[in-house]
Amino acid sequence: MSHKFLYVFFVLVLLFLLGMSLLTGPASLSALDIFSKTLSAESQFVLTELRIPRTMALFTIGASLALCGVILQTLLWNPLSEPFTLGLSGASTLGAVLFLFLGIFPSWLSLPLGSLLGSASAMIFILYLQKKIPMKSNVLILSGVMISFFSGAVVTLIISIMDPYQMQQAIYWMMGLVGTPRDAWSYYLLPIFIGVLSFFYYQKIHLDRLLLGLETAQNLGTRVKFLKYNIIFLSSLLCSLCVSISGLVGFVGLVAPHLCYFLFKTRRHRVTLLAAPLLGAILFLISDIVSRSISTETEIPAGSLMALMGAPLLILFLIRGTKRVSNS
Amino acid sequence: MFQIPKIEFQNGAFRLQVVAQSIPFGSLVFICGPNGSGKSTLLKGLSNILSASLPKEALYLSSQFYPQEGLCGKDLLDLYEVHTSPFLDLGLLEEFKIESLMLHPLESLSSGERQKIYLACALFHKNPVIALDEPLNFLDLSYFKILKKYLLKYLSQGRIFFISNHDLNWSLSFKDSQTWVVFQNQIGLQGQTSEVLSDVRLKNAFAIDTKILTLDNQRFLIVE
Repeated sequence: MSHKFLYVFFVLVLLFLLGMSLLTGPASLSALDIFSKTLSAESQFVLTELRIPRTMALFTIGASLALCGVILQTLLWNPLSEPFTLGLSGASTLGAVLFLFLGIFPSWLSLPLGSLLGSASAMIFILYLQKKIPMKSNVLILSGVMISFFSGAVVTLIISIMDPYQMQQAIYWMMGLVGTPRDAWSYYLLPIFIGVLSFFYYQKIHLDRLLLGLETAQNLGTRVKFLKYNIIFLSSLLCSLCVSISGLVGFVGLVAPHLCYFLFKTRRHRVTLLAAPLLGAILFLISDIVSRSISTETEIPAGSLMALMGAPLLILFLIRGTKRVSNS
Repeated sequence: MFQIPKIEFQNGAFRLQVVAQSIPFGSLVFICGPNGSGKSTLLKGLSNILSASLPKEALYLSSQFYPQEGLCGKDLLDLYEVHTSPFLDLGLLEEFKIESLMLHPLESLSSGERQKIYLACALFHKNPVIALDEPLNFLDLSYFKILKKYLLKYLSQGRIFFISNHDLNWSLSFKDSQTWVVFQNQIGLQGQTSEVLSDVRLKNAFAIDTKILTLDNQRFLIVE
């Protein structure tokens, strides 16, 4: 299948899912209602205050995490790389839970501020490590795993001493939940996502060269350090903003790039930088629409459904991908 | 002239001393030495990979393949920007029999096929100075001859090649070449290939006795 056909197909799927997301939920809303000029005040509220921010959050978070996955996998040469691998998500969670617990700020400010500070601290720690130890991908991944373990342990400790209300708030947030007032923050995430995507698209040939090895990339004229620091900084920025909106959402950053490599059969960044975010948004939208459709009484966090869907999908792609290579 | 200043290249804990010298354009320099003596360090150093102290004129082709899933030969040619290079010669793709492989994923090719694609990328690159690290790896004998033909063609166009090589008889088959023998953290021996390889001091580097034999006007190095 040609790339053009795949792009058109997935853009149509995305548009369909965006529409579905606007229409799915406990309050009944039809496509005709949306375009009607005489929308009731209640429907107007559901649409503008709940469904549109939620849909926007699903799109921007899915696309942003997939973008982070692509650029981190390129930098680290590791197919398991995503914001979690570098410990950015773990540190963001720690920051947010710590701020919730301390209660210095109101909860609407604690989450974004705490996750930004947590992610920035992890990033500074990684940059410090890179100065001390030669920059190798295994060092980055090991330090990321270490940050995640440490953050997880501290989060568990903090949650165990929280009051029941705070505990419920923190646990729900950590499950990866959209459909909260924080969804509206995605209006700020969207321009940042577009800016980061544009920056990396401009650098696409240099990102491609990183796939040949850092030495080769440098020898071919790529400013490896500049690109490396930008990847770490911008992916941690995007990741912390996503975490502050929806809490921990795993697998999008891992599955979307692999799905992209499998379908488009290339790792050239002129393709993956556009296709993986598209697929990331589609996957996150599907998991949320499914979670809203399963039950009208309680909401299953989209993050956990994403992991339920993502794990078997990823294994399937890996098996089929390996078979394809060994048969050719 | 490609100017090399007096310099020390450092690769991890390994250090290699190089004395200042000027290499005229159109020169072929073979680099040999025992395993771990610093041949790759020298090539990387000359290509500005270890430090930015030399002019950015040299392209380095590693002897190791990296995991490049999802890339094909055509992608590699793009990334080496060969389409704007004056050294692009499609005849090499034909003689290397890799024309039809350019759209295949690299991971599906044999090591020899991948090596030929990488060699084509390096030879077509616009840089006048090329450092090839063990280019004969994975190639069968027929391609030694084709590679030699294209090296001679590019040398006649004024390019400089630094080539690390374990097949010293292939080095001897080039009439006007230099050989640098790397040992004891420096270039311990250098000069015309035929002279260097018949020098008694070669034993200091490899710790073996060697002898040059001549057969049909071609010199051969044999281990005694």
